[in-house]
Amino acid sequence: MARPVTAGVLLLFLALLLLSLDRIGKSSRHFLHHPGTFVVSTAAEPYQVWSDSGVRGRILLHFDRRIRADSVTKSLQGSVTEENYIYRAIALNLVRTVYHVIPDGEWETVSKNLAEQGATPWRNGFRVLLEGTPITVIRQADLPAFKEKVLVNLDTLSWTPELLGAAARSMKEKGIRSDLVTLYGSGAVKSEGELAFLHE
Amino acid sequence: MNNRVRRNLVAVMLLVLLAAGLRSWSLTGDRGFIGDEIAQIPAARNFAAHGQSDNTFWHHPPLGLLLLDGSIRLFGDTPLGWRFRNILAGSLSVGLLFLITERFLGSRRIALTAAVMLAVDPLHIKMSGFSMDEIPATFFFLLALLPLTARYPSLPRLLAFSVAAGCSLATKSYYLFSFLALLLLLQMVCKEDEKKSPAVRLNLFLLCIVPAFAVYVTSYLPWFMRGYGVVDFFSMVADSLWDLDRMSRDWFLEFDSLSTTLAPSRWFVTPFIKPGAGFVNSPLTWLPVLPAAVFAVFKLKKTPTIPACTGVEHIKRFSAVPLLLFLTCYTPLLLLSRPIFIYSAVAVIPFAFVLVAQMLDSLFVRMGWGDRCYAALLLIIICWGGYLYPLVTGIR
Repeated sequence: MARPVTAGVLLLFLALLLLSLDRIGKSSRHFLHHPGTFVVSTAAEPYQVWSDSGVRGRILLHFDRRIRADSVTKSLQGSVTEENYIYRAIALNLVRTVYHVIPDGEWETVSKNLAEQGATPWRNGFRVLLEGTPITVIRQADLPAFKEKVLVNLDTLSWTPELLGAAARSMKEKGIRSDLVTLYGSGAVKSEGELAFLHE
Repeated sequence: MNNRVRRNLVAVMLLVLLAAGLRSWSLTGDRGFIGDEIAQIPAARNFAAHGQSDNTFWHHPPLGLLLLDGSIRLFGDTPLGWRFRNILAGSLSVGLLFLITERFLGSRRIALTAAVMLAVDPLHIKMSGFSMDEIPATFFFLLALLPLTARYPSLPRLLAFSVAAGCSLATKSYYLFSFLALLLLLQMVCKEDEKKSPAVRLNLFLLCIVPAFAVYVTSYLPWFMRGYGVVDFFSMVADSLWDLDRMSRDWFLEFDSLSTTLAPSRWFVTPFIKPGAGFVNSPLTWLPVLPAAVFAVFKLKKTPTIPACTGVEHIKRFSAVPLLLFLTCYTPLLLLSRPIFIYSAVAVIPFAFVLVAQMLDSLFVRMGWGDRCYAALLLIIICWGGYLYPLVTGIR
């Protein structure tokens, strides 16, 4: 029979392994030293901003009516479009998890659609899995607090100044901070000031 | 090297060569992607590069994808690169089955019969020819059994068992319950002069579990490098199990053809040789499986309980291992509520064939049939496999 190997040695090995993997995971998240806000002209450009800035393994707060994670054309060599750039960001590890924040006025329709599709209820929202990546669909009031800086991506067409103001207050209350904000749509320039607190 | 070892080595080499030749069918002709390869090859490359596979493969442990990516890096993005992993694993599985059966049961005849059955089995040949993960998962589990064939497993052998079992579970989870059953069995193996204290039992348990779990979790390293932590890992595993339970037809590229194949309850009961089906069973060697299992149970009950662990009793106790492994691998597949297709049987058939070989050997002994009859049996099995070969490979 095997010579006795202390349980402690084995458990210590396991603990060290799990700690190492945890450390490797967390150190794989790339943040920006100098926070910034980018106003882009099309909904596909945030992906380019993220890619060029070198962010990796991040939490994304995606303020938009649509998830823009079309994975039908799975080739990662194809074009980045308005319909697939979130999927591309996930697939290429710019983003590791997404909080899709729906404007309050659209919530009823979205929640009905998700419930019909069998999405898992999560707190006051829903949780879906895109190739294993969790996407949490919520309203701005249900945003959780985050221990790390997040990416913020906002469509000012679906987030009017009133809605944006409420979302900004909600994020401020929860202490949410960001090192990279991307804004698109006609109200993008005006919204820049509203979200300046995210870089503090 | 003594005579027995030399003869076994020759037998293993011949079996592996035969198996490799039969399994190289997919390297002939101008074959593009076969079956799931169209999705699995990109998934393997994506996972190795970015820690993300695809909508199907993220549910399963990723070691198979990593090995597939390694094979492609070694041999290129070619049919050889796509299929070398399975051709090698499938061929070596035949040799491993011979070795572990010979050592567990002390019978070269039973071992050779079971190994020949596996070597020419149409389902195993088919799946060894392309990239399905069931083949390496089975290979690793058979590899894990090899160190356990020693009379008293030592520390290096237990480590080897645990690491190989971890590799199997990090590829597919078919053998989870078989692994747990072996842990229980190991607790029962005794040495006359050794006290079975709780500390010894705990050490043994952890020695078998910790390395296996370490292999399993480390196979997710590319996934961890996406920025996830340990808490996220356990959440992801829970997500994958929950999502697997909701399996739907959209998952499967060839659902319509798969849905016409047999459910687990009919694998060893209904002949299924259908041109164009892709996956078939082999009625000659599969239909005796359940009667062989019953025979093994009957034979087990007739063996008296022997308290001491001497050489002969050791082998008699181990004669239950094929039955144990067959039941702990097959039963969960019978009980799962989601669709299970016939290709999953490839995980069960190695132990099924050992049971059939055991039953046939008992029959031969009882009837007084000698080596010539036994040679005729092997010839029939080989010819039957040859008859089915064109059906599954398309090679005439």
